[in-house]
Amino acid sequence: MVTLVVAVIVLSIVWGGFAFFLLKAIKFEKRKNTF
Amino acid sequence: MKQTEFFTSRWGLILATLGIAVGTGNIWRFSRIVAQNGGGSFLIPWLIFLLIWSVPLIIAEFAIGKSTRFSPIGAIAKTAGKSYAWMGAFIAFVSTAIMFYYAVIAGWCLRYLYLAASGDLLTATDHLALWNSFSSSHSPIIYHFIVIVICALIIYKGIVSGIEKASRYLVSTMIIILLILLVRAVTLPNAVEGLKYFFTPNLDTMLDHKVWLNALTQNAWDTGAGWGLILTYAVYMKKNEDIPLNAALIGFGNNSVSLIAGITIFSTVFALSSSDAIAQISQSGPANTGMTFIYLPLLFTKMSGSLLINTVFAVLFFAALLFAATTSLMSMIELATRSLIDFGLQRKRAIIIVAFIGFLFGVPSALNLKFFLNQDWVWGMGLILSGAFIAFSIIKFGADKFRIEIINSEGSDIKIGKWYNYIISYLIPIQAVILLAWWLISSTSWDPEWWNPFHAENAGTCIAQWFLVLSAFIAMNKFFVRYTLER
Repeated sequence: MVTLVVAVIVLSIVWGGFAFFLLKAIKFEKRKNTF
Repeated sequence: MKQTEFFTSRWGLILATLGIAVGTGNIWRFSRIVAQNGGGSFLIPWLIFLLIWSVPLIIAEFAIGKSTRFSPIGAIAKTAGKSYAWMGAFIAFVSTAIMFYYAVIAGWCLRYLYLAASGDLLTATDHLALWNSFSSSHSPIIYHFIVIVICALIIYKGIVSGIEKASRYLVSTMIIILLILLVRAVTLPNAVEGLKYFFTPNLDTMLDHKVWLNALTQNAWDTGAGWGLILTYAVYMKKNEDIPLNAALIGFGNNSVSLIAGITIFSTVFALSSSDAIAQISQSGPANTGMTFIYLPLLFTKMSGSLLINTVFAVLFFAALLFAATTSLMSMIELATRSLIDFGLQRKRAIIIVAFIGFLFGVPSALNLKFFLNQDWVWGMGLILSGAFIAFSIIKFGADKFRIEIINSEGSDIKIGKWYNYIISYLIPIQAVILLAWWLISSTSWDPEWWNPFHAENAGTCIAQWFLVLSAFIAMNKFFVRYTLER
């Protein structure tokens, strides 16, 4: 159970963080290219 | 000198910078350090230091490179003041000294890719003998020469046609390969045992200071933060390019790749190993390469019943390793080349000089693993000093002024708050001092003659070589300023 909690925390912070920043960058790039 | 060449797009910059950050350290060192430091217990401090060492320093490097348009020597002199050009020279020298032996490592990866593709690797019966016969021969020089020439040709073509184009192909292919290997590894029978060890924390281990120091060391060595390499690529950022969001992407992207590699290796070893899996992953192996060249080839022979399928997976793994090494090596060669360009040389002449010197000074490491280990130790430690010098130059400039005027300047998609001032002014210097003190004091326990500068890995050889380089650079400070900033 503890293993699962740590796995979810680590993966959601690292992979989730990367996905979050990537989506944010895509959004800003789209906005820059629109105007 | 007016900057005329820039990365064509944000994605080109990100892939190239991710190529710097993702190297062999993500693939063979990360798994070994996780195994030696209690699996899941290591991952928590490793995450914390990503946020308080790696990302702040990546932000700093992007900002210094983009604002000064100089490689480390001119960049530090322009940020901290002309009296500190020697600090920039030290940062540039450390990464260049690492380049000499890192090219040898890339050569080993190329050799093993060839062995895997030719079928000789998986049909060999004694992988240790295979490694020993290769590393004790003159062959490493040939492979060292080939990778230097390949990287030099890429750098010769410049930023857009060279670095950006090569990084697009190499980094994206490497990530796809690692994802294929990840899927194969976690679907092996018994792979879940590896995942259990990888993610299970142990409270006692988490309270051990060594686990925390190893987590900081891993972040200092495998994210490319504090090397001056990201600073050099940032010279070619467009004026309206973002800094903070790109830095976060690089830090989190790098550690995402580490996790992919770690999960892949733990799953594979636990699924296929007939002996103690943790002992296998923990071993330092020849020249600190872990189990990459000795034990992994043996595991590839057990991956399935088909020699062809096993060969395909071995080729994919060593190709990913070679691409990771090559994109990191490219940035080290570019740093040295850009430093010469800042002194007034043309790129084409500068790259010929750097490639020649890079090959020549890499030969001792290619021929002698003891010399290789000495250089890895001395300049690996030097990187921590480099990180401290980058933080110092921002403190000298004024952390708040730096944050407002340079980081949060035109083009930044997100704004960085005052927390950054405290991290760069206090946390980075404190981490650097603690880390250096810990490693140098630890080295006295594994070498009774810790003061002897002619031993491979101890405090004496570190301090002696740093002293020689630093005193020469401090004496040359006026020369650096005159021929870079005031040229």
